[in-house]
Amino acid sequence: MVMTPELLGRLVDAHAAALTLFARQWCAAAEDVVQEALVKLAGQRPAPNDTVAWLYRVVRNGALSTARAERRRRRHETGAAACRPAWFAPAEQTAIDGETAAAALETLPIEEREVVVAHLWGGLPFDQIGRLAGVSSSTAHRRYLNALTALRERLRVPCPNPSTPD
Amino acid sequence: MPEPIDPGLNDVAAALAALRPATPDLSRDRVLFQAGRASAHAWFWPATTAAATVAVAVLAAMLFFRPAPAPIPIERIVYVHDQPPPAPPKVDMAAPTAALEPEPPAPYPWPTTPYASLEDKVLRWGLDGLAGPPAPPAPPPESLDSLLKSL
Repeated sequence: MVMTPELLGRLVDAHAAALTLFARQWCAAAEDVVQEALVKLAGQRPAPNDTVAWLYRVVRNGALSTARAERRRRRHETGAAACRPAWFAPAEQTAIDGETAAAALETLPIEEREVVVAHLWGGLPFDQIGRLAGVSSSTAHRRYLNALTALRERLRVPCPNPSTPD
Repeated sequence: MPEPIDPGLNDVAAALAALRPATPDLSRDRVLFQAGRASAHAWFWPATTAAATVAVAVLAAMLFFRPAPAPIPIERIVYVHDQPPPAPPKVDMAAPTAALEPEPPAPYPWPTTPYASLEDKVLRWGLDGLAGPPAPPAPPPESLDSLLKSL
């Protein structure tokens, strides 16, 4: 399969936001990491079979590298982390505020956070998340459950359908 | 096989999934441009490396299998004598005294023609060896008539 500009454009439209949110779990320059991953994808001959999973893996590796560089740089630049870009778009019809959700997500360990982001907003199944993180799919699922449990306690999410609680 | 999830956790997941990730500061056109430029330049360095490798291999083969260099002619003037130089006299080591004896002088070549005789005189005595100029011709003998006229 050859990566055509049309296909690459569709990937940007469909996954760039989630990929950026995924990269933001490690580093601040998430857009640069995602752009580099997309450019690298365009140069793949042939294109990877599972393009989305490939993109998440490359973004994860790039974000980890960028995070290391940012940590080194931050030793010399104080106060750089005060301005943090928003993780979620502002919305009025949601049960959770985006800033609150981002703050709650930030309290999670990175191993659980990456599973939540990759599954909820990236749409990746647990077996792919497991390969991405280098763990089994059951471990990825367990991390997901632990993260949701912790988030439920922190966010105190109201039940959207209280008539049918099990 | 993932274990069944708690319905309460499903609500948390649904509430979180309702949030949309913020639109990244990522230009779609810029990504496509960068991707196109990267893919256009993707062939350059591999092709350059391959060409350089082939050139090195060919030059190495030419250097290894090159023929012996052809002799370069050098033009030089050589003087060839028509007659071989006279061989040095053989010295008889057994009788060294015989070789040291002087050779007898060659006989003097006496002139055989008048011209050769005159040349020989000039070479030997100079102009003094030549005879004096010829004497003026003698007056004719006096006749009777001339004697009478002189009276």
